[in-house]
Amino acid sequence: MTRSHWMVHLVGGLTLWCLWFVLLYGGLGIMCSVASPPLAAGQWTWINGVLLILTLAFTVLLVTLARWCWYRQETEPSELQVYVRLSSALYGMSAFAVLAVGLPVGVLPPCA
Amino acid sequence: MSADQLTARMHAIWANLPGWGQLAAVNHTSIGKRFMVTGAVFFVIGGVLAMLLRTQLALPMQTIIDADAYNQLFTMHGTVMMFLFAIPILEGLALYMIPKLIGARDLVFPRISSLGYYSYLFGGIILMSSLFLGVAPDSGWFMYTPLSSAEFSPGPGSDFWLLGITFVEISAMAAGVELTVSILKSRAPGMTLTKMPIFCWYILAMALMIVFGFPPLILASILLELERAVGMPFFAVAGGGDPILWQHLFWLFGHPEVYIIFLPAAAVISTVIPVFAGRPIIGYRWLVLAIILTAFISFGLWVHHMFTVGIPQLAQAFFSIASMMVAIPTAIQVFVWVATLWHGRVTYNLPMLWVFGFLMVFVCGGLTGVMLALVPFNWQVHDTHFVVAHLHYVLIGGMLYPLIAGIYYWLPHFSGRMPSLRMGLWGFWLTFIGMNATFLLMHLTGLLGMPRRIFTYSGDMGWSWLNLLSSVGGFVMAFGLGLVILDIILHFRFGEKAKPNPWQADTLEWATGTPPTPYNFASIPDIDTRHPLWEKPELMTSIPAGEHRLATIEHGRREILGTSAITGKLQAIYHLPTNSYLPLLAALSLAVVCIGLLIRVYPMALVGLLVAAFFLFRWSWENGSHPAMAPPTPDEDPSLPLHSRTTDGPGRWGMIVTLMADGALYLALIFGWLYLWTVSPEWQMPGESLLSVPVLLVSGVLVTVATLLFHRLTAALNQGQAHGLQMKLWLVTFVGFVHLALLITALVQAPLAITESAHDAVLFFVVIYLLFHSLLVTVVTALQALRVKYGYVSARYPYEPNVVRPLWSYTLGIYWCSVATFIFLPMVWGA
Repeated sequence: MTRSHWMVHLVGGLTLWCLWFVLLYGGLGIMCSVASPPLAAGQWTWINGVLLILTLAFTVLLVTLARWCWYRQETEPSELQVYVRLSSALYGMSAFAVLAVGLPVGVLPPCA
Repeated sequence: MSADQLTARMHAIWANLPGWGQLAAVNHTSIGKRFMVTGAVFFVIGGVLAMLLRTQLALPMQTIIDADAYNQLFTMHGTVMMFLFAIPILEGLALYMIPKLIGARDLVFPRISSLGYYSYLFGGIILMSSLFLGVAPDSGWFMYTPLSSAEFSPGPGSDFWLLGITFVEISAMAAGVELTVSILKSRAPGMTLTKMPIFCWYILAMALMIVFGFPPLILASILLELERAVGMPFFAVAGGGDPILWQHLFWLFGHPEVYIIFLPAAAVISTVIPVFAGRPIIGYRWLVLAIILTAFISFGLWVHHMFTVGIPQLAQAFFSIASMMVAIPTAIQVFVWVATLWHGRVTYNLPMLWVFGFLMVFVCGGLTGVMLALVPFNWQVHDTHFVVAHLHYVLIGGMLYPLIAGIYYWLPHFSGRMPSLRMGLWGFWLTFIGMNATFLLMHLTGLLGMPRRIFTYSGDMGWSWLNLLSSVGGFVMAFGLGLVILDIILHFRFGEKAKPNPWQADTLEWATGTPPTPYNFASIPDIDTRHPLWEKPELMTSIPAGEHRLATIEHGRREILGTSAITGKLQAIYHLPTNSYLPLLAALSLAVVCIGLLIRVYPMALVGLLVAAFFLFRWSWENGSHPAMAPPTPDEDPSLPLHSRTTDGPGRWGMIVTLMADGALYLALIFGWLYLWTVSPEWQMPGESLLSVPVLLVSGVLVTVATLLFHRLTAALNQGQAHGLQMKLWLVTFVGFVHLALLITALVQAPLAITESAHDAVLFFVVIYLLFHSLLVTVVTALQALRVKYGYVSARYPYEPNVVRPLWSYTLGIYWCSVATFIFLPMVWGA
């Protein structure tokens, strides 16, 4: 893999984080305006379900990418290993950021 | 050629013109200094406004300043400090430092630097004039609607803010594009990204944040000015708009802006600490990781400024956690700095004093930031002096202290002289004590419930003694900062002469001379280390002696080396423009546009716009192999060509980065459309498209054809085939104009009620946006056809069509995206 590809990976994790964040916040707004569930349902609503699946999907994707980068270290030339390690760390941090910011989906009602 | 002859010849090519000719200077050293000096002047003005505010608040029930004047003063204090001081002075520092750190003689777009400076200067003067005319904006520095709308701010104050700040933002965007491309494409050969000084990583992140962060505010300012001037109801509920949209767009810019200010300041800290610790920074890669994390996550925090506007709890929780998470990369940086100090042999000097002040004050400001990220606490202290205290801890600690540390560190570089230690010590301690007296106590004032932005208060509220002490502290701090400024001014005359590289630093700027030569490096060395002056001290003499690359100057061109973005591999020679009045003239014309819009004399604005367009097109004409730029010379080396003889170069990169900013503005527009559609209670979506769909489709087919034709002709040109090039370019121009005519027809025929419906107003704005791009790319293509006639574009000079090509792609992309989002999506959703 070339240096250019690793540069894409360097910002890839956090770009995915941004995309997830837009989907999460924008999706919440749109879903609440279209079919707001009753407040009494608490956090056990279809909206929370959709957002939770989205969050878990992105987390799995980012963890997979972090692992993939980590195991590529051995096969890449030494001058590229810095980018490989950084990319892996950034995918991992992005996965953590997705999971951490997405946690309230399991706790709070969506539209209150 | 001897070293002396080389120096003399370099000076002749790179020096500014004498006398009034200084106005034509484009050199990054001159432009960077001008940004910093102008920023310092605005800082003094903003400081005087702050002292007036503190004088009024020192005692209860004072009537020194009335409520109206107080509103103007606090609005202008915040505006001046944020937009006219903090951002521009750091941009100036970056513009000054970056070429010197990466081993280049100048930035890649010198005329754009100059245009940016004049836009900043004229925009700042226009904005400040409102204060002296007594009509300054008075809605607060973030100009919330509806307070800033025509109904509640009928005077010209808001217009001064919106037009002045938009004008100033040209300079920020210019710096963002300029710095990004310069860092990526003009580093010394061999300087890979991971060999780059850490300062450059910070500035690269800051520049890209400007590219993505500023456009939402530019869009918001244009929309609000259109609402005020024409009555398009983007933020008025009755017309289907929503005032909260302004808050979203403002803080989409506003929160990243905090980090746009902090990152360059942290860059200074990360540069100064290793030098005075006498060792490389510990955790360079951790710092890179933290910089990238900060740059991204800071875009996901904006709603923490809006916790009280009625957003669902779940959404607030997202932003609350994201706000706390940004503390992680910040903490990584603090630990890196502390670890470097811990393991080094620290030399205590004036710059280090400010670094220690920064560490203490900024960490405290960061901790109150984490407190404010907690929604319930945020609700309690919202709009109180606690928030004012927090933001001043962050901004003074996180920006002003590092800035002064950097100024003291690079003072010998600017002037060749050393500062006064005694006056510097007094300046620091008075500032430090005064600052903490003012703002530490202000946290308590806020916790006791004192709202921000009230011009006076009753004596029985229990806030009197705190306010008095804060005011005394404010004046102590002002005195301290006055001493610092005096020290800096006096050192130019009385400072001790500096030795070369007086702090024994590791980075290349100290090899450019103290003060630096206008060309920085007489010859450009290969760099394969992060610490060139520590590992190769002989560079201090071998560079001026012309022992490295690019030491020939007989051709008379200003040249720098062009390298690949990641590996630093040598690719081409970039020839740069010399001194030019065109940026000044273009900025003056834009100032006429600004004033014309301000006083609502629209013919004047139109004339200014046409004159500005003339100067900008004239500017674009003097490029490539034009006689004023780089006409063919016999000494050209085909193995290392001039960039205008290739298919890639800084212009193409600049175009792409500019389009990224343009795309950010466009995305903000789509966000606004979807937001109003989803949230605004009075939003009216018509049953069918108001714009003729068949006309739009035909127009779309034509822009597609034009783009494909252009791509095809550039592909052929890149393979050396220029047969019929001029005719093909004229054909593309013709198709482009027909596309434009159809788009105008669709707009004219549409029954849009732009002053009654936000929907219609947004649609109108979108079509104008598309028309602007289509017109621009068509005219530029026509100019390319003309340039073929003059021989500036040909098989030997294929560069310029490759610069224009991404603009055609972008125009095509936004066209179909707009048709899908603004026309088809409502039709499908409505069905």
